[in-house]
Amino acid sequence: MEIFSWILTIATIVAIYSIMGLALNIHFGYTNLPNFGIAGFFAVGAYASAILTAPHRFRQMEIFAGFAGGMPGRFEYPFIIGLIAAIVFAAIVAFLIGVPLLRLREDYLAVASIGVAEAIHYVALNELWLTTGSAGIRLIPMPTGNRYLYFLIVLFVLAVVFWITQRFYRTPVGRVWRGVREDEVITASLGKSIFSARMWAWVVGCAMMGAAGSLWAHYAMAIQPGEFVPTTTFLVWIFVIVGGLRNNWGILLGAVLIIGFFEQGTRFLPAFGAPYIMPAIRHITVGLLLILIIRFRPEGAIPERAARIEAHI
Amino acid sequence: MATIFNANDIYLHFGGVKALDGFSIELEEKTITAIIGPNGAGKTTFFNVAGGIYPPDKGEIYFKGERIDCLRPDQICLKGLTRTFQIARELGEMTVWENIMLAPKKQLGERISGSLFKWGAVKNQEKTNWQKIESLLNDMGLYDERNELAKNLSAGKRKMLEISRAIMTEPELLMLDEPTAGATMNETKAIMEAIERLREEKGITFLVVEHKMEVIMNLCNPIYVMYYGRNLANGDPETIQNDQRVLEVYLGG
Repeated sequence: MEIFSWILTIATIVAIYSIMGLALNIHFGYTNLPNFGIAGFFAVGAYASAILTAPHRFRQMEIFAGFAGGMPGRFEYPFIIGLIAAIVFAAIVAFLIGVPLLRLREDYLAVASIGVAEAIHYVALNELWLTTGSAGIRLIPMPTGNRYLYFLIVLFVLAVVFWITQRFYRTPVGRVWRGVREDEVITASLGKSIFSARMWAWVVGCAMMGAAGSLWAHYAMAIQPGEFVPTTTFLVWIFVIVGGLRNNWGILLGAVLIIGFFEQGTRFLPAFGAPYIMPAIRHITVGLLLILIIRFRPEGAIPERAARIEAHI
Repeated sequence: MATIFNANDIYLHFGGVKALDGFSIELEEKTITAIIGPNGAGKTTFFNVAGGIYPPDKGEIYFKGERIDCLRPDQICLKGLTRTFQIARELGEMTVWENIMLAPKKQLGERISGSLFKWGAVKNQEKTNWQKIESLLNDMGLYDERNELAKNLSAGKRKMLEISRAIMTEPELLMLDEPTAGATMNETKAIMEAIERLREEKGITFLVVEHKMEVIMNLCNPIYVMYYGRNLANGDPETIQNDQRVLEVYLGG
């Protein structure tokens, strides 16, 4: 039973990361928006959901101090409200940030987005009235209270996100996005507004990252600012590149491979030698795999496949 | 005949370079007008100004009576003016059919809500668009390459692809920047025939920048000659061929 529970843990984390990977595919794979601020939108979603569903922070203290039930909760809305709020808030933040950010060229956009994510991290760390700072938010309810059922909820959200990303690829909206990726001047000369195409791709992708944040908060049941650091962003980038940028199946494969096997799967292997040798080996392996893929198969494990018109119509 | 497009006294400077130095042009409906001139005369720059890529420093451009020199490229295209590029710029990692299916204006599936919720309507629109494109591809000799990635096409076919894509925006004025550059003799002939056919069947007005004299003299009337960003001469092919100033510019005499 222990091994089964362990696999369930990994599968849930892989599914949540996959959602972020698919969102990054909309940003970078479809539209050529190098978003290095994934952790930021992940955090917005996680905090929005946590603040709206967790008990009031004073009450949290009371519960820990042993006299629960003193003060009323602030919101304590159900999970579904938290999830919707996470999506909406991530989209709003993305829109507001996108107005100045999306006017930048790709390389500057990459630098600016990592800065945005760090700014969000510091808001979470310092705005105590909202986020309780480094103490984080605890007692976030897990819907259904059962990890097996919760995994099904995560899987359902992943399926919806996957379906949407695939649908966008096949319909005109994805064609415009990929047109922007290939050549902005041409796409503009064909009557497509570049800014609005970039903005829609940006907002939709960030909203998905927000949904992933909400799912994470309710799974971990406690969040704190230290989790939303650039490492999360880089992990998503690594498995998206390894699995196959621009191909949604490749991204699922990359998530299973990198997050499942290397990041999580090796976590509980018996330690040998010096105590910190296993985590170090883990990071070295992931880095090595990334270098090998970029050197020998830059399109990733499963590359983009040209769609045939006969299959489309 | 009515005027569909006119540009008055266009100036554009890049630093100290006067790329356009008071150029003016007027296009009559359903004509094929050519701009010729030596390299660096400002022909492509004028296309970029008319297409909205650079706003002019001075001067006004009118299309169908509306001023367009303050609009963005996509807004100009939606008004009915489409331009192509000198170096065929294909969307390389997309297939030929995707390249052309990008072009039709105001597609339902370009909106997020349409893409997600209006399955039937989007599918129908895609089918209708593809029917039009299918016959266009046949005319252009691109049908067999429909599932090919655009980056794998030959230079002439890329030009065909670019023209086909521009046609699918259903323009009233089509501005072609060297439509036959890099094309073989047969491809050049096919492109010329396509332009003539489109003018007759769809009543499209053309503005063509070209270097090949056989294309210009057989296809275009009137012809504008550009020199250092200014008008040098304009008139029908006969007049231009016998104009002393034009001969001097071209022969360096």
